[in-house]
Amino acid sequence: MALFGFGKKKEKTASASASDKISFSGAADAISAKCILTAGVRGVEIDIDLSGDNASLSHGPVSAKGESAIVTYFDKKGTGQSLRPKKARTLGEQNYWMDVTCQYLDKGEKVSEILTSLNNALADKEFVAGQLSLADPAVAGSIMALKKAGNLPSGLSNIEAWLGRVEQKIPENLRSNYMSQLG
Amino acid sequence: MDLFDQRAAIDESEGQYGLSGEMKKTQYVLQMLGAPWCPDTLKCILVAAEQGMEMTCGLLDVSENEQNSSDFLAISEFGVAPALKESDYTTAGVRAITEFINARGLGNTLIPMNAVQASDQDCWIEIARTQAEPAINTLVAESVCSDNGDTAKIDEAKAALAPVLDQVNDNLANNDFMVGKNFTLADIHWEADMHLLSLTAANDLIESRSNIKNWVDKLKNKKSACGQDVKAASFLPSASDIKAKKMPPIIKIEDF
Repeated sequence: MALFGFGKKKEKTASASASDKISFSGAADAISAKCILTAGVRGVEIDIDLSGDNASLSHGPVSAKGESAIVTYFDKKGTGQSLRPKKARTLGEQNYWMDVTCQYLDKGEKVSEILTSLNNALADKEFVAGQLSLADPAVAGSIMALKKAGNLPSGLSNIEAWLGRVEQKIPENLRSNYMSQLG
Repeated sequence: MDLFDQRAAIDESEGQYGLSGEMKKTQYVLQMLGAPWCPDTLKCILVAAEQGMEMTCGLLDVSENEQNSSDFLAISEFGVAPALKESDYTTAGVRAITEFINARGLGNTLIPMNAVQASDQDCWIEIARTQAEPAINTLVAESVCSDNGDTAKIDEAKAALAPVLDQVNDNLANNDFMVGKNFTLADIHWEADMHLLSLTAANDLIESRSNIKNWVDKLKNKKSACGQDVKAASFLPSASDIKAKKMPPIIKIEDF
């Protein structure tokens, strides 16, 4: 039995140097919004190009495609502690909301129902899973895309306040640039 | 009594695993509702077995739209399935359940620590979910669940799946597992998908790709990640189980 990681095989992987810049490319959609917000909340500096098609990232010899892979990479490359909760139940809560977002919100399904429920939940919580987690930039990105398309229901005051809290987590030197890409 | 207790009841007789609370991380037996033809359900079963978590399983018949029944919506507000319960906690959706069990379980985490590997893992998971599973779901519906499947739909699904499997086959040419040398959640996702595919009329898509075939054979005989005397693949449903809408009743850990 492998204990404490001793049974895991270490292997070399491609890695970027400190001077390599991270470039993100994608469409001006919910997926890009989630990726940009995750980079922002994690304090990762990226060059953004929203004239592309599918979300992709390049960082020196490293490349990644797709929302999950890019979000994970930004989370790992960020400063300080990862946004991925350590406690299993909080992790479950984070991932539940990320699944709900991908499965319904991004497709414009059950929007009113989900946002009403989230708005109620945020009356008692600072962030979606209680603590700041990957669910916050993910759900916020999806909601911002709905807002941009004029499909966000009104009267969601707790969600509006929470979006402000998420935005404040982006370091000041990156905030205006990242938020302008999402507006 | 909620839907979990109606369909995935825990055996509370004396001496059962998990009920005495001696093993801190596993003092609760898990309960899951899903469908045997659903790739996401199979992934949850595999993670539980890999991580040494005992779990009782019950059917949620999504073919009868049960995910939108009031009983299920009382568990999973928006109808996200499969769903999992641990004592007073419930969650739903494949990402939530697999990572919850992974964090709760006995074995090493199945999520790589390295940024590039973690990103690769998630990339392969997304390919499985978005590119392979729509075709595999069609193949299962047309050639396992149905006696008279639509051959045009089967051919179309096979054609769509072939280039995706070529990518996987190429990837496995130089890797022991989907992401390098270690077994990760990406293997769990593709193992569930390849198991379902192996039960369909398109099994030749696996047989004709030697790297995938060898990897599937390796996983079938692999001891669980947690070191318990369990082979996770042995809990996966057969074609007749799927046809009969029969879930494996319990992921049983015998050597606790």
